Amino acid sequence: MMLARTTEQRARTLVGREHDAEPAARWQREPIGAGAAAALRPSDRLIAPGRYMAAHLGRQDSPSVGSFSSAADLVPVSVGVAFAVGARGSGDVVLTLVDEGAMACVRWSESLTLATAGRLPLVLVVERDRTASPGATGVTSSGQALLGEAVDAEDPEAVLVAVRAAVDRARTGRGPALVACVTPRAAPGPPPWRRGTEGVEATPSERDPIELYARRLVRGGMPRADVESTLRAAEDEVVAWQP
Amino acid sequence: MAAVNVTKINQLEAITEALRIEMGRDPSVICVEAAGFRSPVVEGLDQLFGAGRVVALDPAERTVIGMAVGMALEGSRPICEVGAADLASRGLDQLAEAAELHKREGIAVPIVVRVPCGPSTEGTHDPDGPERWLLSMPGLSVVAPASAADAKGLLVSAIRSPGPVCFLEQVDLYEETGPVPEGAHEVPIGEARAVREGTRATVVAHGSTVAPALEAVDELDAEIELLDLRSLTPLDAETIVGSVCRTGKSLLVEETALFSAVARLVTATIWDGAFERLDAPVRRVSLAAAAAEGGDRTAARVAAVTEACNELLAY
Repeated sequence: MMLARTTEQRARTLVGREHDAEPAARWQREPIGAGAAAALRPSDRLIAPGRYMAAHLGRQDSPSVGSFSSAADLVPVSVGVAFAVGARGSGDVVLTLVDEGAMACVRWSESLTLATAGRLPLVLVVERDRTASPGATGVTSSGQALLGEAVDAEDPEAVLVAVRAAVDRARTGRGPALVACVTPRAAPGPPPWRRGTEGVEATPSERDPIELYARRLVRGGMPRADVESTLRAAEDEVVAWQP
Repeated sequence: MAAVNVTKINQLEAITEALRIEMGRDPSVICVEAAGFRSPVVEGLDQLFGAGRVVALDPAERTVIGMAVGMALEGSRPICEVGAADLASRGLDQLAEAAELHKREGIAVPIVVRVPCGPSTEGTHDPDGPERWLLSMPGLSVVAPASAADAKGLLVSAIRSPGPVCFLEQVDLYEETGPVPEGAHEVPIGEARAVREGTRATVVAHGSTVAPALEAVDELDAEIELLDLRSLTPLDAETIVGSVCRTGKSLLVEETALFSAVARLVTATIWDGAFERLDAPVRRVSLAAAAAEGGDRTAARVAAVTEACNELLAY
């Protein structure tokens, strides 16, 4: 998570936007990305937009597809990859990270239908806005519901546990699964008409998932100095990186 | 050089033969069909190569190209079929992204999208043709065969290409027969063909406009050169410019009523490379109007080209 945070900060500095407001909506993708990527083995595939940088950074030497399209269009691509991976019978799994906007189009339900019918080794991790409508989560075009679980998007360990269970299920030939990572939206983010009021009053620093997780580690017995040195090491790694 | 055996088959059979040869040569080549629809082009291929090589996806009208991209990223060489109207309304963004991925990232995305098109594709025919959507996509190759031999050769090249290729097959030409080399036969993407050589004018055609253009210039017997573009992107600018520099006059033959993307591209190419050598403005003739007049459609199309050629020669 810290690698992703520092990388994005450095990127903003490089393009002269270092004074932009800290994008809290992006913070919430760090635990999703980190937790989901940690559930994969090296030969599994990750397909996710670049905004889930924590996932990509967690798998730097493993097969991944980044953002070349909108999240919605990554879903059929993921099904195609899962089709090819499944046909090989390697036991590998395809993990896709998308936000809930991907669910609002026919491609989503078409893709889920094909993945379900073919029992493809596919896990969809969907970032869901807590204020969004409680409607369909994993419903295929034929009306079939996909096995799904909802977890707190700000808790990387909860994401890891849920995604690991879904990955294990897909790996053993029991078909695709869905994990909904429920997140409160904080400004800047979607427009007010969409995000509602919940979570908007919270200041970004109080919702910082890295700070929350650091406190949790300290509460769990990890010395504060060790936590801070780990965070600094991540920063140093990004600063030292050369293309 | 060893003699190549030639057989006479129609364009539909030539396309099937290209698929059969490439599927036999390379196990990663698979046909992907959408929406409970079995194209006559893939008939019998599943019996030859197994059901896993001819994949039927249902429903997949909106996802088939994206899924093909996914398969291609995993090392397959998928060939999917999308109608011209479906491509415009449901698949263009996915195709553009595949092309962008190939061009910008340098990643192999070896997919072929076969697009049956032309005036006979009732209900789904875009009167201005799918070319207008496709020619502005960086990283995408677009080919449009006019003969059975080129249909086979271009499809083989498209399947072997590391990047996405749109294969525009004219439904009107499916039954047209012609000599086709047996076995492996490749036609390089990006090379136009001089169907007839001449010195007084250059006629540029592609797909279903090549046959009426050839008939017209044959009848005129007036030293007119006829180029079949075969590849729309990349365009063979060298051959077009070289021909127009020799003849000084050019005529573009099109199916579309409006000035098409192909015509814009060819015209710009001529202006860029041969402007100083032009003896007449670049002319264009649409066969759409000829077809709408009724009567003998073929004769009307040939007559339209003949009239345009005569006007050009007299300029």
